[in-house]
Amino acid sequence: MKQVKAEINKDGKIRIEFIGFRGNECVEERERLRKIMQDLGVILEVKEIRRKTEQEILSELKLSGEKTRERLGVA
Amino acid sequence: MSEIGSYKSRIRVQACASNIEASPSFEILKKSLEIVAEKHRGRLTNYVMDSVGRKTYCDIAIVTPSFSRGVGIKIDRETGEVTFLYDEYGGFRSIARKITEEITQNYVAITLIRAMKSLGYHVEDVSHVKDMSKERETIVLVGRI
Repeated sequence: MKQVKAEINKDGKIRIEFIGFRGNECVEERERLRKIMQDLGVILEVKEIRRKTEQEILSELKLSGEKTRERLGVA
Repeated sequence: MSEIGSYKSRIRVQACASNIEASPSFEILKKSLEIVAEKHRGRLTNYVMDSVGRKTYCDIAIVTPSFSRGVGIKIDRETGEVTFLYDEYGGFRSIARKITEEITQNYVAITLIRAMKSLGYHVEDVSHVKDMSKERETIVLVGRI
């Protein structure tokens, strides 16, 4: 499952995290999101974009696998 | 590959000189003000007052019991730039800024939810997280597909 988690602060700063995307999928998804937001009146200026480390991705995959096992009722 | 991005947001309503009130951006702006008005037990209007009681008309405004002069919004018909109008004279800076920040925050959150939904996400979790050290509240959204 893919996830987008966003934190919106009162000072106008936003942190958007893409979880579970492969290859450049998240770059395309980020740009689609930015375009729709721009059409609706929000301009997002990039401050920093950081690719997740292999360790972070592995940990996400592990968590996702655990959740799937929970849902399926597999011990 | 997944990523984490930090952005600075700015509101710029889609310019529509003839009828700004019909634009989707204005509808989102109005909804953001309604949320803030509900929180502060205020109401929406179309003017603000200054410290000596002079009235200035704007596109939309909010008046609350804690800031009865009100915070107004003016939209540039050519560029779509949004300007907040208020008179903070006499110790009202903090409440006026709080209201403008909440309007912006809600606007961005509503826009992000709509953008996620239009890309097929189910936006299930919307929560407010309070950072006590900074006395700020963060809106957290999670969309799943």
